[in-house]
Amino acid sequence: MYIYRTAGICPPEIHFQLTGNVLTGVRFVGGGCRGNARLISRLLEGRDVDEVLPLLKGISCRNDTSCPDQLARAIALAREGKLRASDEIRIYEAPAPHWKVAVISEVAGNLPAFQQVIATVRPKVEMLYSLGNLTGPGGANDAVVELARREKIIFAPGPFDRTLPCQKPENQDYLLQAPLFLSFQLGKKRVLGFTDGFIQELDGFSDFSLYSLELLMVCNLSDYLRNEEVYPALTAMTEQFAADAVFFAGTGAWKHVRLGKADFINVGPLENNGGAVQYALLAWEREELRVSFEAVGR
Amino acid sequence: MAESVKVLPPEIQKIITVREWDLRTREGIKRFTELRARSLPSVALDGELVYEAVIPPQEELIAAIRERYNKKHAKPGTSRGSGMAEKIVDVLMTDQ
Repeated sequence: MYIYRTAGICPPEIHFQLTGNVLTGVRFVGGGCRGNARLISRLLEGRDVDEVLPLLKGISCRNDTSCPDQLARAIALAREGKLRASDEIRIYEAPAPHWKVAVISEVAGNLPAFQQVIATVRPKVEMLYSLGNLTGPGGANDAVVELARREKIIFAPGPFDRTLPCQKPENQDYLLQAPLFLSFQLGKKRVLGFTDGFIQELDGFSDFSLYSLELLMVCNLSDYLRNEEVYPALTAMTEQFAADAVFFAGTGAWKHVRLGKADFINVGPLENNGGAVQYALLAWEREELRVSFEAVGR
Repeated sequence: MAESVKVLPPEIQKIITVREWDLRTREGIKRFTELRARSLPSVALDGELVYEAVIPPQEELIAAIRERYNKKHAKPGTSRGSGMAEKIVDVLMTDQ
């Protein structure tokens, strides 16, 4: 995917894909005339760039340029190799809705705790999701990743997971290929999970991509829910969320608040200081999302 | 942008620079937290948060801008009416 930062027009970014000469996925994001922009995207879908470039070039709307003109410039740069394609931020989308799931985070290479949660918690829920970091400094990282792979644990990595902490290449690949956002339906709620704000430092991140708003509101605006002064703004922004509930890690705290139309769930580390294994339980019961933090003694 | 800010009379436009910040962006969030804002929409004049959770009526906004402008230029040693945009009006909001 290409992300082009525009100049002189309303949308701050244009996203598109170019496969050979074929243009797909054109999106003008972050502002401007939505209807017209969507029409342009539909008209351009799958078209040969040599056909469409003459149509796009030189149209003036404001500041001697326009959305089509900026797109023409972006395509030209991409073809000249002056605009680099970014890796897409991968999103896991569960194939079927859930009713009860458990979420853990910060396994940090702790194999006994990970084995315990798989043995005792997983049988009680439909799905066990893990946030990062699955690995940790000095942890049994290869063994933990192999267990996750064997048990088909769906997980979203954290920053440490992306520092190549395993010895075996297949385990490194598993960590690097993991989706950065987890998304599933829980009863009537759309639930989103991610580890923390490191995602915004990755090449393919855009403020205007799907779920970026939720991430930025949690990590940057509210400082992982720690800045309660901004809760009025956070509450207002939930109206624009694609998700109804957002779970995340990254601070070591356990917290659940409901603001506006969204539930925010901060998931703490797998093992607490007392050696107990902890997890968040999310369930859809009596037409409501129920969130609780559970512990299993060791 | 809020209409009352967009259509300020030319004599006011001349002495201000309006910056609109979108809270959906990292840049907008940074400015929002720098100004210690809490709600949307909000308006800051010269880095000071003046209106929270409201865009004021145009007359009120003009009066607030004039008051700050006059106060600044009443200080000894400062020039008056150079025609340069001197006041920064930050408008914090979100584009739906």
